[in-house]
Amino acid sequence: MEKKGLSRRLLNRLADIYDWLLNRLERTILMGIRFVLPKKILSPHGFLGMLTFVTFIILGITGALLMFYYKPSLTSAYESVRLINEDIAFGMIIRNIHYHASNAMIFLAIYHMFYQFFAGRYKIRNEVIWITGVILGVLTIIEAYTGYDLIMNERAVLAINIGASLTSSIPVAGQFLASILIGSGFSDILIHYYAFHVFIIPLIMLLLITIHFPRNLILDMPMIAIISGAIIIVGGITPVSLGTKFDPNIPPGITVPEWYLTGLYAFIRTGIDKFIAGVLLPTLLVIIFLIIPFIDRGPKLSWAERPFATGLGIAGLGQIIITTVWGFYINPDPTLDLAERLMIDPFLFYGALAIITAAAFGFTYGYHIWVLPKRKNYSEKSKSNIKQWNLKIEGKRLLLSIIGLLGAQFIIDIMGLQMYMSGHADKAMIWIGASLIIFAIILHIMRSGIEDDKG
Amino acid sequence: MDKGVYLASVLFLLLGIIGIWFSYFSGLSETLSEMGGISILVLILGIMILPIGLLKGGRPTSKELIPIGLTLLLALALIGNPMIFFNKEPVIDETGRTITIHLVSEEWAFNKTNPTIKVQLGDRVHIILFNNGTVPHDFAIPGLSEEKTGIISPQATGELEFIVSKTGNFEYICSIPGHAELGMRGKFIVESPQE
Repeated sequence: MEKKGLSRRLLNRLADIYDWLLNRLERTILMGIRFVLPKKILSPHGFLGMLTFVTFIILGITGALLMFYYKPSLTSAYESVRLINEDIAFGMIIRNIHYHASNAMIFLAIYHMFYQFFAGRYKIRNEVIWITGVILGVLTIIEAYTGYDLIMNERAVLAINIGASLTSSIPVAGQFLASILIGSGFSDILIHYYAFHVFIIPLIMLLLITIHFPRNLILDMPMIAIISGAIIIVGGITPVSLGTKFDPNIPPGITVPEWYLTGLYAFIRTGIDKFIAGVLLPTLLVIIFLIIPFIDRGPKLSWAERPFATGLGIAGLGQIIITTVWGFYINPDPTLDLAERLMIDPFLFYGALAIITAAAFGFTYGYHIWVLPKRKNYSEKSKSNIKQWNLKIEGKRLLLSIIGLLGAQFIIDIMGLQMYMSGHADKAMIWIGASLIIFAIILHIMRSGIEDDKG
Repeated sequence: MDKGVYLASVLFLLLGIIGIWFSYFSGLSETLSEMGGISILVLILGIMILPIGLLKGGRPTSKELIPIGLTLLLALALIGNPMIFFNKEPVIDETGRTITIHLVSEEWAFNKTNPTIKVQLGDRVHIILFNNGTVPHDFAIPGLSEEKTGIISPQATGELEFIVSKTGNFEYICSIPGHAELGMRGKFIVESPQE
């Protein structure tokens, strides 16, 4: 009796502390945000922004760990990254996650933006959220750009050179901006980029995120586990490389930038004026996205009923794909001069962009004029037509499937550990990622089981 | 639930598969392989959200796919065509020069200092390697020439002859495991012929 009384008193005490803390937190900003933990599968399109933020947190944690060993100086940067890759415990894994999470963050941000665009979410009093979102997207790409330059390999130097020459090509303010970006010379570059990468840009991003966050935040744990798992699996399949060390004494080999900048690289390689291709056109793109809520002001939200915005969005998507893939392509013919191999035929390139824009608007308006009117009851019909298969797992089978999945997870973890012990840190990541994805499935089965129990 | 989940997942699967083909299997350009990582990420994301789209989101009808589907197909055609059809099989003009390079391998360097070798595209390179060490060595240029000298015993000589078919920076190494790491590596630079 004595013992039970003690534990009861201890529990009461803990509950008191919890209540006390909750009461005080009422006064903070935290209670203004509502975190929703969904109890069933939701469309991931509703919380892509949250997933982007989760990758931002992953980047923050892994980046902070990398800061322990990275040295931002011209002479030792590459060697310090090599040290992280080869000697530091878990260094390879941390760097791999950091790199692939940056790719995932940019991809998710673009995915998030296009979904919000096609769903017309920038209307309904969301203009400020939309504008901060577009700025955040641009900052994310700049953040990633300053990040991969820190390695000081040939790829980094190519990107630094392009960034520096684009900045100084801006009329009037160019030289001043370039001096902020790269300092007085080559030896200043890394420390400047480092300051931007680890402090200035993330700080601005965090401030913007506080404005960008809506009041309801959906924390879908299974999807978060899936995204983390996907990042780690990709890290295992294509481990991030060190690249060739930059040596000012030998001519650099042929490299291309990261995928989110190859589009820009393609524009620059068409041979038109550097300022127009590298600064004016991208700025124009950003401005179009910024002002779209003020152009498309109708009350309609569905993509099918907003042909102009939809055409614009699809044209943008097609242009991004064309410029990005083309930016990776360098003529493999070794008999040509390097400048000739890098050259992109401007007629083919801009022709393709013009054709795709015309086609996007053509198809969208075609659909709007000829197909949509024949489908009058379209929205009601399609809603009632949605097939929803319910895979119900109940009772004993629920328990058995969870035990089975836990068993599978255990085996996969052992495989991963074995891989790691035998020196294949990168291959171990495939197993760790798979384990995380099984964890996501377990989480989902558990939450749907709990829901079924209640109902 | 919206039908967009299914649409996005199909889009990602297609982009992922086509991206992986462009990167690793098309053979169009070496730099395209840098696209592999993001393509695999897109493919995995597509696989992950496909069940959500299939089970819960409902599927768009074929007519709803007209604007986006046709545009993206056209986009792929517009990228693919110039790369595939304008991609000529390169013809290497031989310079007619034969460059003979004498190397001596020891533990653990070539010619004590691993000198940088510079040649031009189209040169015939003739390597004569004398092994002055105490263990077997060989000579190879990964990425440039498939052939090697073969393993050369101590105090023996081996030869390698090939026509340089690529420009770029390569590394010559002793391909016996561990030897390159111990220092038997040097730079091999191929420049395009000056006109």
